[in-house]
Amino acid sequence: MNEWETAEKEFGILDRVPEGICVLREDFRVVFWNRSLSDWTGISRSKILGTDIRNYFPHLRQGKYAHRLEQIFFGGPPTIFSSLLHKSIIPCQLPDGRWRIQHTTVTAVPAPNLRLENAGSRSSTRSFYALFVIEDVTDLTHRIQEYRSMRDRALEEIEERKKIEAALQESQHFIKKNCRCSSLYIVHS
Amino acid sequence: MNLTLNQIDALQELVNIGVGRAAGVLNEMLSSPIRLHIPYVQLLSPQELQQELESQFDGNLLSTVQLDFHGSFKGTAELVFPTESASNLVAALTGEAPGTLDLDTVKIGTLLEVGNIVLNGIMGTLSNVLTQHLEYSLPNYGENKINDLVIFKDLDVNTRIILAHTRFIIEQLQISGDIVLIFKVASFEALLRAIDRVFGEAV
Repeated sequence: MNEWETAEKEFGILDRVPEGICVLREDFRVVFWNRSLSDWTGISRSKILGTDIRNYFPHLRQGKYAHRLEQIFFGGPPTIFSSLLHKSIIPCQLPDGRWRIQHTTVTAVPAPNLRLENAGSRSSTRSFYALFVIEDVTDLTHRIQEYRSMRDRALEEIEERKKIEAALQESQHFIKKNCRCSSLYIVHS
Repeated sequence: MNLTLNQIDALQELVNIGVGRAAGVLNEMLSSPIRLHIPYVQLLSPQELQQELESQFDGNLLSTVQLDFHGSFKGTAELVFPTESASNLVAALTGEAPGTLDLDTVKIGTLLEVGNIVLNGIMGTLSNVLTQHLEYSLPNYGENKINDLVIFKDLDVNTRIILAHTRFIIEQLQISGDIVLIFKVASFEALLRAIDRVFGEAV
């Protein structure tokens, strides 16, 4: 059984999870790509397995990703890529054309000690794989944005009302004062 | 338990390297450079920690990110942001105008990532320099008052707490805030043995 088949056996149950899930080896080759990610990206498992994920998603070469993922391959602590700072770690669109917004957690999982199928590249034992769990938070994000703009509009309206109320009180005060002056003038005259 | 000067220096250096690494990662993500001050490290008992935090934050609600670890030594690393600092930091990271203090799920995700970067910088450094492999749980976000901090749960008489206080400054945006790192290390002797082995025995 080669590395890809072993990984499929080990992680296969993750095909039943409604999150995007993929597993990378330390050289960024994809060892597992679940059904949700295939659906989201249109990239089939058979096509991406064993290839360098950075060929499909070159932004993963940037230091802000590469440096943090390095730790994972040494068994370091889990790493979070939040939706507000990264939008999406695996950019892909929804059927309606909107970009999926993703919150991603990457954890280290011990790799099975295997020899590379690709005898030409190298043969060594692996230490840790990086397991990406990608949560689609598009709807949640849009709902929060809508709520925030509603709240901001409501707050603006309250401010506006307060200003109008203050102006009304001032004019009322002015009218009262004028009325008092007028009545005094009438009495004296 | 008293620490030797060597051990205090070593702890200070480890936390400092970790915070430096975290600042490096944050700078890669921010358009405005962020500086993290050299942390001031203390070893405290749970009661002393409680007094210290109360003197700094009164009864304010605090935003926290926790990371549990176990292995040759086990414990919890917790990052504590006063709410205002947390809100300012999120605003700086996302380019929003600071102002509203409320944190929704999406903003909490951002804070969780920042906490994750700082804690990973330190835990990664501890693990690498002391050549100790540790297992980690997933990081958690919480909003608590001092008495309810996770760090105070399941304490026994031998528990020692390392408190590191630092400050972040984003000069271009004139934003600054406090970050408090708390490590509850249940097997403190194991940590000290590892420090002595790497940095040399205290004289």
